[in-house]
Amino acid sequence: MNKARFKKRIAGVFFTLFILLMIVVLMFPIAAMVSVSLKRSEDVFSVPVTWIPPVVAWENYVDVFFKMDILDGFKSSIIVTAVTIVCIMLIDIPAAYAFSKLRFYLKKPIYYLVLVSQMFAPVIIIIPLYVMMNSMGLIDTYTSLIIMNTTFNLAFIVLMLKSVFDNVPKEVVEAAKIDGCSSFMTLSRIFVPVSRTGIAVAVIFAFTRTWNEFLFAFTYISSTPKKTIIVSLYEILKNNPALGIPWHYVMTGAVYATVPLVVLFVLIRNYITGDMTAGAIK
Amino acid sequence: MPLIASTLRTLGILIGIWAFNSFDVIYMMTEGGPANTSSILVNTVYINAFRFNNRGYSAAVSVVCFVLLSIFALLYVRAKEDDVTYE
Repeated sequence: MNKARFKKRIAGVFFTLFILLMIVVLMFPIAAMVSVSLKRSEDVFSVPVTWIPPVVAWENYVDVFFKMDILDGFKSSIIVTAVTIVCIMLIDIPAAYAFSKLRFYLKKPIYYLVLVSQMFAPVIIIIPLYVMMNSMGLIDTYTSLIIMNTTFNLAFIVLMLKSVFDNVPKEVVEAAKIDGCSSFMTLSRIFVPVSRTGIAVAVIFAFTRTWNEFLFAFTYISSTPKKTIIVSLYEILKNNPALGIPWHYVMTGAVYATVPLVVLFVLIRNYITGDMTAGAIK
Repeated sequence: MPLIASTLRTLGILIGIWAFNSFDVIYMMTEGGPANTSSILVNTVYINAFRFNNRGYSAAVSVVCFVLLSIFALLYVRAKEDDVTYE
């Protein structure tokens, strides 16, 4: 084996080790979550800490539904997230197409405004937003959450979808035009099918951000049945002073809260197969 | 490096902004306590507005946040405009 090859192999080993280290660091909290969710309440704080509990408490996964209110949280989270994703995609796919391929007056300033709008945290405008929602009578409804989540995800998703649409060569648009496609038909018949991959990724991002959203769900929703799953978990954390914090139930709930995300990812994985525009204009 | 410089710059600014805005983690774990040691500006805004009912003060703090973030936003737009593309 000559020297250069040897060096290359050493570098490869280091890369692999580095990536493995990253994976360990990233998976550590998740492993801790699953581990605690399988412990009995008296084992949670046992010293020394064990990864695999002495008695595996599978019954946590059933009990959490009866002892804590999680089901309502699931229902409202699913409703809010589903409607939000539909709204975001309905608005953002045409918007990203316009930013990417059409020419119109004041395009650049508008694009920058959209970009800048995502810099300002919802927290710093929460007071005016609360007053607005209150005067529209939308406090404690799903509608308020859907509106807010849609608003604050729009900019980010537009950014993502624009870069996806930018990868589609503009000759495709010209070809469609010659064959008599209107702008809207170009979008729906060509761009959406061709960039399924990017749209799937955007859906995953929108889903994660909406599903994990805490601020609005916590501020706007006051009646228990309408609370989203994240807020339900927070309530379990804060509202059980008699029991102490039931960490095993919190973690079990957290495991349940990650399930929809994993399911969505598995469902959508088939779409993430590759770029269909490769070689479109050859 | 020069090829990915623009992406790095954009990401750096965005991560800074997201850290500035990371309200929910801090609120969930410590609520900014003990004695405000783990509080950041946006937590001050929220707690003053909805716990202490001190809307005026918290609106003032959010204006300060707004100004700080505007500087970030300006940097971000500048970074975007400096983007170099290699064909």
